[in-house]
Amino acid sequence: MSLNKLNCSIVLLSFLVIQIGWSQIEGQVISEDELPIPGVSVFAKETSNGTYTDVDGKFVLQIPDGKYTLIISSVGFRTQYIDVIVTNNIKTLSIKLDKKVDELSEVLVVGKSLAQQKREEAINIDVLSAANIRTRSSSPQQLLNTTSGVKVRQAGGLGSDTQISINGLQGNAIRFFRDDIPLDYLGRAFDLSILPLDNIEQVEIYKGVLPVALGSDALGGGINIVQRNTTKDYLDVTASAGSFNTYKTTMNGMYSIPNSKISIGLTGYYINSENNFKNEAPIINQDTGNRSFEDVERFHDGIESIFFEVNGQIKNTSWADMLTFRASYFDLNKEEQNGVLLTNAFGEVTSSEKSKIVSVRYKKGFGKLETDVFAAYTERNNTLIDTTGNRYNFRGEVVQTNATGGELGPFKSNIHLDFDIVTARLYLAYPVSDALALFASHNYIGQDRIGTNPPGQTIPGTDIDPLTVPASYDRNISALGIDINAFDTHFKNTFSLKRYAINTKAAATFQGDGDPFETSDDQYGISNAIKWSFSSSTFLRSSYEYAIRIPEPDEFFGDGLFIQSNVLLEPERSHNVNLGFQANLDTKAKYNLSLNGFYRFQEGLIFLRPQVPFSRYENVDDAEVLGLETSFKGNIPNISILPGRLSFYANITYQDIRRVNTGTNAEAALEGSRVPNIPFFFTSLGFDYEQSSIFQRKDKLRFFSTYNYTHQFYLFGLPKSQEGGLFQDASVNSTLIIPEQHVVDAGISYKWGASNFWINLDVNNLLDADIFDEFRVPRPGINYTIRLRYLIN
Amino acid sequence: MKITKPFIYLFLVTALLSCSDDDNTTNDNNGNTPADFAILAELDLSTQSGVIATFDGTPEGILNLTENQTSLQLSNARLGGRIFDGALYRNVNDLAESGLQKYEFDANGNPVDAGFIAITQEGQYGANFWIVNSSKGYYYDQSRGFLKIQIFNPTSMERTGEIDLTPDVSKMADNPTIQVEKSGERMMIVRDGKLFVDVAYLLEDDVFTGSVYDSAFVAVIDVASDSFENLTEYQGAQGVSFPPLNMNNVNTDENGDLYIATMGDMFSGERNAKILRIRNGETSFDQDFELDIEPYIPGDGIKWYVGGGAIRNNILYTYIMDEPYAPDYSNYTDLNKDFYAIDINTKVATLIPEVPKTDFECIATPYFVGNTLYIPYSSPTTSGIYTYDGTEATSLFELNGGVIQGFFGLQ
Repeated sequence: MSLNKLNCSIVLLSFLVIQIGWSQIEGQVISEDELPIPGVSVFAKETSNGTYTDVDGKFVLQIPDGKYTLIISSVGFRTQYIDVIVTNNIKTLSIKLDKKVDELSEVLVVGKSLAQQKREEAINIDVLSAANIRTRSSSPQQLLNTTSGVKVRQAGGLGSDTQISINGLQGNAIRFFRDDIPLDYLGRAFDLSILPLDNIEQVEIYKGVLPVALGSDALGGGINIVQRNTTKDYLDVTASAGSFNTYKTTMNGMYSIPNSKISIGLTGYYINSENNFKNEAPIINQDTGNRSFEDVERFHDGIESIFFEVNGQIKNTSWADMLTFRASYFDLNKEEQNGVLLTNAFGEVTSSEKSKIVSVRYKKGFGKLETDVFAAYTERNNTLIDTTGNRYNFRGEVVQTNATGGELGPFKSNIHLDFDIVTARLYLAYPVSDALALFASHNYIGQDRIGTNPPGQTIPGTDIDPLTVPASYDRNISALGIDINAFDTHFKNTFSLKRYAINTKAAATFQGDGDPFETSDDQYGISNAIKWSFSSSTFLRSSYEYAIRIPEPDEFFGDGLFIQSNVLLEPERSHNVNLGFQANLDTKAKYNLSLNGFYRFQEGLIFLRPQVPFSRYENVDDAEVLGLETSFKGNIPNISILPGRLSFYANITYQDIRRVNTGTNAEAALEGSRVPNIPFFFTSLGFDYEQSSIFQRKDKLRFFSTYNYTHQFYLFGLPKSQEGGLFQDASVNSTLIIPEQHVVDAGISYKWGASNFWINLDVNNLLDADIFDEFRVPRPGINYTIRLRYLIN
Repeated sequence: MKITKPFIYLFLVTALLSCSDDDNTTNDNNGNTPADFAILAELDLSTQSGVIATFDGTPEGILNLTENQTSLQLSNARLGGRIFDGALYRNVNDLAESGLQKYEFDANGNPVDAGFIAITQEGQYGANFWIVNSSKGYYYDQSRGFLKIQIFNPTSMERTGEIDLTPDVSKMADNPTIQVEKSGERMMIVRDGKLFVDVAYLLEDDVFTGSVYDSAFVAVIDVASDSFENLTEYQGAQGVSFPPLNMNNVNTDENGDLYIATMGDMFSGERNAKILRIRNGETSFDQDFELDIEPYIPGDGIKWYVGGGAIRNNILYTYIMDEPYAPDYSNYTDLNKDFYAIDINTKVATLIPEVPKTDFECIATPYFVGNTLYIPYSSPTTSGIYTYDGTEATSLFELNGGVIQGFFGLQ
């Protein structure tokens, strides 16, 4: 670790010793008949601080010292106003709310969940609650695919590569976060292809502007995974078994040490799958060389992964509102069955990732100033082993021995990479008044890499293994933001300015001596979002962002072999515009409609340009995205024919993603063509029905089903004149089109009486349809998972 | 609020989508195709994808391939192809999987799949091959052996056997520095009843560098008996040929003399990029002939040579760099290659300025069909084919979008 990183960590940790200025208000809200009232909104009028009561009617509110008017409100109850003064202490309140009998027939929802508040920000955020589907065995991909404008694709079974697009942008344009911190320090431990939902509270999807809190260089949005954070002790254990020898176990919990402000928690998962589903694969006749296609079991696609994290947390002390230490261990081993295409079977290629991670997070209010400091250190080891001389067919039979190269390519690989990663983040929020709030953040990610690949190629003209040359990558992103509320909270404006700085060093000399190249860059981005509320849940919002995506080290420096360096590479840039409308369609907020139009103009997109024999990353095309997404959701507590709760959703997304300014004559035929290999039209429908006390008192039965449709899309660039209309196939003679797909998933969950024991059966791909998220690499057919969950509160 | 309407709309849209037609392309080929010529063009430089488009009559003038109704989309349009008996053979299929792909042309002129012989090991340059007649051809599949030449039937598109050159050309037992021996990956041509294939003795499996000897080797096999005849060596040259078919690294002149381009070692100071000769009727290199390319490249620096030349009447037609390669090869695809006619006897090179410079996005090189010289070229503003009759260069056609990578007569 470099001295700079160490200094940075010390500076950030020094915040831990700074003192004080906040108090705590806690209490319980009950009704006239002495019953606790859950979901009551408790807000301090003078600040943005607020919270909600839990199922026992209890609440805890952290607040700077001072004098406040608390507003206590809930559906069907008369709002109460209570004046309090707090000075570095804990104040306990007992509040009784009166029913508003005369208004019960037309209840207006006053309190809003934190998720709902996020959804109603000036910037476009979609929030998916994982809490509601924890009783299922759904994956994060399935959850995300229920969102308009978002498409998740996976190249095969559990643990295979996952591609997420948000409003038409994908790959490096999308950044990922855990509790507002860039995910780089966690690596694949939080990869959405394996991460269980059990320890996730909600998933926030930022479609365009990223707020100051998520300072990162995302070109087209981000996904923030918010973990469960509860004040109550619990233990949540699940075990599931599914098709293709898939087993998952998760354990999450928290325990507060009595008579202290200390709690300890754990979260972990273990996943093991053979992924041995059947797929249609080519088998080469060894005599004739001709291929036939057979349904064969995948034989080398297994995955085993374990993640374990313990944390210790101190809350509500005089010197810290919250101080959390975490220590994590992650180990993933994966077999690789095939490359990008299902052409050749790999029988022995394996990859692995091991990480040890320690992190600390400190939150403290200093008067009105809210401070949030995070620092993490990661030691990560990655391997890619491809040393066999055997060659396999898709039946798993060895068809050749003593081949010189590897299964992946013309050279064997025995790659071992060691990474040291330091992540640090400082976030400050200062609510000047109800009308004005200031924000600032700084994100630092430093990565050092060194490795070996003995059987690999050396830097041309030398005997130097390029991986043995140390490489480093430092990224600093600073952001400033201002929120303005006006016109009696009808108007909200969110402005931010970001600075992106990078310093990179790596082995990249083609025919050089292995001396590292070094480059640095400074860029600025800006965003502004405006929201006008017509009522509490009906609003119009618009945003503009000039976003930057800094090239990755590999894009700058190539591989020192046949991907040349290109130190003149410019960052990708994007002008992102959103215009959206959202409304509750009835006064009871049962039905919600949202409509969002989006426009992106991306400049200098980076592509790998293959040549004979070299390749190089270059800023190539621009792209223009014009899209429309709409979603309709309903949540009905009970309907006349069914006594249970029904919720449903339906959404449609169309995104016209076009290549523009193709530049040379070489690609002029593709001017205005769709950017290939991105779905451009898709829909999703789903429902969830829950009913209680069916077979016994307090039991619960839930059904759900989802349907996803993806229109055919093109693997490669197709001239615009050869595209079909929206409801037509392409008018071209081609086998390189990914066909339309229909995917239906369904499941049923049952909770035993008053216990917290759930049993669940999920059926994925109910129609047993051919699903090809990636060209000719099928995903599993119909498959089943049975899952047991036990929750101790 | 009634909730039924939005649902009805949504399901109607979904139902409409589900009912879209599937266009099935006919595979009927009655042997009476109107396709006279085919153009292979790369449309996307990042993915190398493109099309093979056919034409009734000679394509001329400015062509817009996006308007062509008889085309087939290809994952890899950069590597070339060969025509035999009206069918197009390529070393990758639609999806760029390595193997021998045969396309015939249906009654409308559409290219249609007419057979595929797969190879197990994916290669960067597909499967090298040569077709002798309608019942016999040769190809390279290193998964079956580095020193084995595979035999196939071009009509049935089935592998039929192999020739094992190991006993005749292997030097590994005598020279332990050799790590890899390969034969047929780069060069494969039949002339006068003999099959000529390259033999490489390498430090590692790399087409660009690592030759154990500063020599070029060619093995000669009798086609009738599929038996080994000779291994010939030329010292002071290495790196026989470059795999892509459209680079035309090996040519014959009007006398049947064989001219073989060697590209030299890409990373060593002595690159030895030369053109060598095996005279008609001979099975050994002409030790009295070599055409050294390096003197024609001005300045000091890396003078590597890829892409062969076409030859008639002792004149070699080829593109040559107007500057050396940059140390990082960053000028590899700059517009810096001039078209020359080189007298192979006097070694005098004459610039033909009427033929446009090329930038090597088009990797196809000049070639003769009969006595007509076809010159593919590309630049940031245009790409197409020129013809040259010895005195005058004429533009045959120009692509309005795309990079020419092959032009074939089908009749």
